[in-house]
Amino acid sequence: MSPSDRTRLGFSLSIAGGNARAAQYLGIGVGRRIIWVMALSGLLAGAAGVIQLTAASGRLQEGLTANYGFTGILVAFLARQRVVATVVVALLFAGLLNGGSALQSTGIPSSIAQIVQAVIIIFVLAGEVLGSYRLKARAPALRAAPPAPQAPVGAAEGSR
Amino acid sequence: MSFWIDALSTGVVLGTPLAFAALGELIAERSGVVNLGVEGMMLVGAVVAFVVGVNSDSIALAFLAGALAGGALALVHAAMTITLRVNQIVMGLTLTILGTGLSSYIGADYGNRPLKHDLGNVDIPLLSHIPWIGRIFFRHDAVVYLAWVAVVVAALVMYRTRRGLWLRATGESPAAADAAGVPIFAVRYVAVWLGGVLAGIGGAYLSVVYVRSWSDQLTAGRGWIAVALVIFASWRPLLILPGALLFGFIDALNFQLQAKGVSIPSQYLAMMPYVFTLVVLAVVWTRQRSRNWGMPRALGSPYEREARS
Repeated sequence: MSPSDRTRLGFSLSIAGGNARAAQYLGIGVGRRIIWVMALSGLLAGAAGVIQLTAASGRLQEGLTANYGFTGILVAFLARQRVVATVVVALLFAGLLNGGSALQSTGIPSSIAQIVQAVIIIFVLAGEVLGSYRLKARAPALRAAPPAPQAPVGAAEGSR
Repeated sequence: MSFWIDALSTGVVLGTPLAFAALGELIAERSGVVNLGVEGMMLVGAVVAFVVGVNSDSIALAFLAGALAGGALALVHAAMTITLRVNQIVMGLTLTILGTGLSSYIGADYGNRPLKHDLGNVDIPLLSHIPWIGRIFFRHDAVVYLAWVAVVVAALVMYRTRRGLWLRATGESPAAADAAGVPIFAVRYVAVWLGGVLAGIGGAYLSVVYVRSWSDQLTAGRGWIAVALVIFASWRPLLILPGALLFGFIDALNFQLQAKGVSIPSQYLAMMPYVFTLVVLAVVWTRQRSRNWGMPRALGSPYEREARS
């Protein structure tokens, strides 16, 4: 489940997020938790910006984060809000983005990477839903076949 | 004086794409579907319109193509969120990424291509002779007036017709509307598609009429401002117009002040639309008893006929 169910805090957050009213009845301060969690996630986002500036780009420029914030939302969603899975999905997306800029040197426009990224997400999202359905193959011959059991039933009735 | 008239007049022009895109988003949201892909749909509408405009020399055809392209992208969102019931926020963000990539891919060879035709200004008789007001409002191209008409028509349809009632009912309570026989899935599909069409027209206006060229990220975040504008207008179509004019004016003021060399950093004005939206949200939400303040009640939640409510 979500953030961490191993600690009091993590569990109370899961409840507050899953059913705010139930959490209120349990005495969990939902509003206060939302404010703190928002501050915490802002802190992490800021840290991400610092890393991008100091480690990746090395200089301050406009559009420094290149919409990574929005990608971050998608990563969290695709990881279904599980902490470890977030890291894995984030690495996958980082590879996609970097691959895109590497493609540019071979003459393929880097916009392809964005398109591929979006298409992957769309297929994952659709696959999640479609995966919960099962296709049943039904032989068309069966439907067209004459109602076979009727005759024996009629015969049974006649014999009574 | 002429400085302010110029700024206001440009503001009316810059408010036009915002009005189109925000009106589209409003229609989609009133049916209960958030589409955060406005930015992507505007970009694709802009680039497709520009490409068609360059190759066909017809502005009308360019706008039609842009509208259809925006609508096509919106249909992806509709199929994913309405039929497959995917999370609307996630799908919308994905749509923006897709639209950004697609537009940059399609427009790669059109960076320096010129548009031959020009959409001339139409001076509205009598009204355009009013001092100041005439120059600000009534000496623009036809698409500007079309935006105003579209807003009024949308408001009339939404509040005065059966289809409009269907739209609002679907956004407030799809279960109740469904029980009353409203074809809610069709309503949502049409609403989301219309949202894409209008966003496409907004993008087309930017590339074909306003900038008259193509470059990556041409819309420069105007799609996001349109999303904020819907909240700013508290989901009421008629409020889209003053909101779009205000946000457009801020945008124009930014240009004019830069041109004049006034030493206000342009970033302050660029963040004003969001600040305004935040302030309006904070003020109205604390004043009003009912917490949702015009927000459609079913906004963001997919409708599942088989689910227990």
